[in-house]
Amino acid sequence: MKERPSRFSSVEDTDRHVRAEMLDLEAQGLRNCHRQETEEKSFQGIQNDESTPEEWHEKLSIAISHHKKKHEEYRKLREENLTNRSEELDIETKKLGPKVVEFIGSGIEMYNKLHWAKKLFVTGSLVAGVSLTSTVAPIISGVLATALYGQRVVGAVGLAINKRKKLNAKIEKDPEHWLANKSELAKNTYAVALAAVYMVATIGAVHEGVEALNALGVNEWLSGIFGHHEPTADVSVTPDAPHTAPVADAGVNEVITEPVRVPESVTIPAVEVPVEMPTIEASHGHGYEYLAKRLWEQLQDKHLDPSKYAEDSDIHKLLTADAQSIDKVVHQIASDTKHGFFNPDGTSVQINPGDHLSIDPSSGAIHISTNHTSFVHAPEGAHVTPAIHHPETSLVHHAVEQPSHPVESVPAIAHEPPLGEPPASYVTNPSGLHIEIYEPHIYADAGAKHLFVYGGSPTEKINAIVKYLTENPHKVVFNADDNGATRIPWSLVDGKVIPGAPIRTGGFLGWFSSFMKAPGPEDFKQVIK
Amino acid sequence: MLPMQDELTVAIAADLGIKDLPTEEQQALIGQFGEVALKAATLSVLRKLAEDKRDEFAKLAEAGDAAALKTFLDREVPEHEDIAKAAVAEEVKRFKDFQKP
Repeated sequence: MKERPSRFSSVEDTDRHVRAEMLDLEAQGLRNCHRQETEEKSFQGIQNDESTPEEWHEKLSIAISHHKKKHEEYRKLREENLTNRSEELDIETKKLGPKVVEFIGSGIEMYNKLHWAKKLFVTGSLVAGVSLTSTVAPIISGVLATALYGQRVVGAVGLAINKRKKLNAKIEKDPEHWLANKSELAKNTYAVALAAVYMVATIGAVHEGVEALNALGVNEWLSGIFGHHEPTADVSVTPDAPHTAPVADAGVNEVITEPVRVPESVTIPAVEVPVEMPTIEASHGHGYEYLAKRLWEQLQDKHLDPSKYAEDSDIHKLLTADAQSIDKVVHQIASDTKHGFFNPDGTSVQINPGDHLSIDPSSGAIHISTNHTSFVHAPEGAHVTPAIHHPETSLVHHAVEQPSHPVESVPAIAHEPPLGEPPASYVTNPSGLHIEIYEPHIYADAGAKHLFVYGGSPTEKINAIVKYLTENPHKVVFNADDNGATRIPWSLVDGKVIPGAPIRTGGFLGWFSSFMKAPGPEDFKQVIK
Repeated sequence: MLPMQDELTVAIAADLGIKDLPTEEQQALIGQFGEVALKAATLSVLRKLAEDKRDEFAKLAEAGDAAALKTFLDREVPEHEDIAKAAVAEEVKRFKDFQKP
């Protein structure tokens, strides 16, 4: 027998031996993958060989090369199999007529144009339903619970641009601004950090949000937008700037203060953080009073100090209103001559679906934004709607009874009870269910397949979700998004109640093109809690 | 790749029996399989529609109204979700069977 060199006679030999063993392991992996008898023999031959490490290395390299060739052939076979199957399905499709061919063709074209990540999600959604043992299903469920984080980050892109524009304006007005002489990169990072602070669901995600925004190229994008090109920021951060952000946690839903980590190169003083005012979008059946009341609700969540605003400002009036006085207050604001939203003759300025109601943070005045303009005072010649009073008509009744009627404009005062009359506190849906408008409850659909939260302010609804999910950790509760437009799943993940991505409707045969509307009374069949 | 995508890739690859492949190859095959699954599932549902209903479906699809499409399918092929799932399951099985030694 040929004598082999000692395994550990030198460092060089040891290294050579380790490399040889690594190659052996790699080859074994390939062998296991393909399970070809001839290759097994080849490897057994190698393992029983008494060759030197150099000879071993050469033989293994040849074997691995051989396996890689086989592997490539096998990969091509898999691809060909799928290609052939796709062609078979095309032939089947043609039998159903040209319109079906066109429909499926356009859908597949749409699919093929998707980014890889979306393809993955689409395929995952399809595969998730194939069997009870599928490992995809729980992940898709998890994706629903966590995807909003990504969406929030993407959504923060627009916000970051706005922050940067505002910063530019500030620097223009104040050349001594603390960021005036900082680099474009620092200014962009500041804007991105602010956007992240506003967009995140949990304080712990702020740092990740900044990183993710930069990973998405936001920093470079901002640089491009503002005509500068600098390398992406290193967003390593330090806990030196305390900010406040809402945290939805199991068992609690409160505002906590934790250090927000910000880029080392930029120190963000707390006083620099402006108040982000809520914006409410008008939709069918929702007029001025509804919007103003939602604005009031969301202002409650901001925990603003009324004393910081002029007493005659709209924001002061809203911040000091309570549940009993808010109806009167929003009517007074609308009737104020500085707005002219309501007229003495009973007519009111027309608010169209898609218009927005918000508050100017500097003046504290309510303003309406349309696609074309934004105004605090109703412009001359603005369309008005006649005075309509339906004492028995409540906002939700209207939405339930006429959900499919196209409404081109929304009478600004038609859907709230007139002043002096107590607002309806509940509605009876088509299933005869008594649904509270101002109190949050958990409802279920037929068969209790889906759970919904409805009623009360956004904060009250979140609190109800947190309480319910804490007691029922494996459930998912659907809520409306911030604009009350789309349906958001909430679930308990690692002890935290987390919102998911908006639910799509027709997400398969409708080719992933629309979102499911927010839960409404018509969805409910029973009260769960 | 984000952790969520990574996790989903691993899970789909396991279901398709390609978990031993390098990630890039898994991604390519998953993308290709998605196309097949989408075609098979759609075809399986549309097969259940009468010819005149297919035209109606096509018109709704052209209009791009996903909600109307869903309402239409709920009415005309109430079990469409199960049919689509079965079609995808069949494609998964077919692909896995092909890979068996």
